[in-house]
Amino acid sequence: MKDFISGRAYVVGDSIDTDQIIPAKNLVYSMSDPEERKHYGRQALSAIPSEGQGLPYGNIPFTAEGKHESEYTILIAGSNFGCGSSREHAPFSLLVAGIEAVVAESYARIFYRNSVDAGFLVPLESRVRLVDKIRTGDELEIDLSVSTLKNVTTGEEYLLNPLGDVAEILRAGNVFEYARQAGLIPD
Amino acid sequence: MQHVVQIPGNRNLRGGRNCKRLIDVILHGRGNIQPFSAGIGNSDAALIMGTGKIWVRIPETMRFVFEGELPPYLMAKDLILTVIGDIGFDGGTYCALEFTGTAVYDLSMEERMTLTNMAIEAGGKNGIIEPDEKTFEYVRSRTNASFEPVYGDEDSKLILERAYDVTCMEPVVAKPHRPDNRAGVTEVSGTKLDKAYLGSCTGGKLEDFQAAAQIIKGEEVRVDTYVVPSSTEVSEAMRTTMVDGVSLWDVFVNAGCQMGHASCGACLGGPIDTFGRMQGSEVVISTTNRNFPGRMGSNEASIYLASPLTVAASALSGVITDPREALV
Repeated sequence: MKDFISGRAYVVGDSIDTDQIIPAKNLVYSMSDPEERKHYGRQALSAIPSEGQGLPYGNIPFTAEGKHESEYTILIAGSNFGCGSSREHAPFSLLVAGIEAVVAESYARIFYRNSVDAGFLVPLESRVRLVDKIRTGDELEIDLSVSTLKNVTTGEEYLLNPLGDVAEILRAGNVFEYARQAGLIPD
Repeated sequence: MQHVVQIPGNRNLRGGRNCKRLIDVILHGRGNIQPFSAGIGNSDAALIMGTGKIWVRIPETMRFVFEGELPPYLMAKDLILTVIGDIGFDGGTYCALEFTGTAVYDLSMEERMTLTNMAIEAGGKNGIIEPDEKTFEYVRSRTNASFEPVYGDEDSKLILERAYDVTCMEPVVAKPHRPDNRAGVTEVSGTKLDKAYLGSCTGGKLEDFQAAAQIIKGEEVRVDTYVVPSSTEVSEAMRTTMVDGVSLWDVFVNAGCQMGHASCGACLGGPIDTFGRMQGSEVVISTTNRNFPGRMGSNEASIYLASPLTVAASALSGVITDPREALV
């Protein structure tokens, strides 16, 4: 995990469930095969209704037609992000598309756990609702050492909730590396 | 592995955010009591199997107190759908939802499982009920191992407490397409149905079928009605549990229900030939847990969630029906 994450924002609304993040019909693809895994990036966020894709404008595809990598690095979301069926493919698909951090008002807990455990991305909580303040395409900078998010485009800065103890797992890379370092898994 | 191994337990953690501990996980076999039960992902499961450890973020607690004598037309499903309707399907996100009060302790262990199981439908991390003598009997009937009950802290902080008088509550449904889209059954009675579905971990236990049988016995269903036991144990018990000289299983057969093998069935949709699955724009009343678009197999279908009593009464009339009309 990097302490400093920067890039362009992609903004979505409330209660984006795991079926909107990666529709269940895509789960047949391998997560490890270098070609097949790209499918997850291509389909990430594809089931969000088009008016909700890339707020406040809408109709902005997360990944360009045929591309598995997105031009956006930071996902801004409302409350209850990642609700619905538990599947690690959801944060994985965002990772493949190039998302390094999600900043949401709140998370469904299994999405949060899956993100941390596998080290797919950094799930951050905002203290205020950012969906109405940040626009898709804005340049953002996250500084995890002081838990701030700066909107370079508008000059505004927001406080985030500190990651707390889960930062140790993310720094180790994933929960298995963390357990190795803690001596729970022999090398 | 049984599908229904949800274990009601008790609260033993103080509230607080951003707390993480790699704690020891005590993996119990089927039928033992875990003090704390919450869903996990693949990596969590692998780590637990390899090391016996899991990290937890300590949840804050919401408490729901149900007082009064539960009327015969209400079930635990009505209580939990009322709670979910009140706080919203994300109202309990990452929280422990504790259920207490005389009406909760009057419930059987199976009915308590319906309450604790569906805490997740309000976003909860876990549902929890402090143990009582019924809990201990339940454990003792399944194991000779010794155990130590765990109780909540006297001074534990709550972020929400709500009290309900169950004698003033009415049967409820969750309308399409969210579990928190609650309505009193009288508001939607008369809604035309294509199917009725009795099954799932919260609606396919032995007592769920016993409740439905009170209404269905000796009658004939008006719409395709699917009966799916939640486990092979339930399925077998339905054949040996007698209702006025007829097995519980045959009560449903004689009423014209379609009987399925023990499984999750159509609760989560599944392949097109799944038993009881929704097709096209059908309308169903179901004892299952969730009614999101497409949940039972068809994106166009409309799912009403309700108690086994309400589903049984509705199956007989072909429209959503107040169980109070059928229980006279």
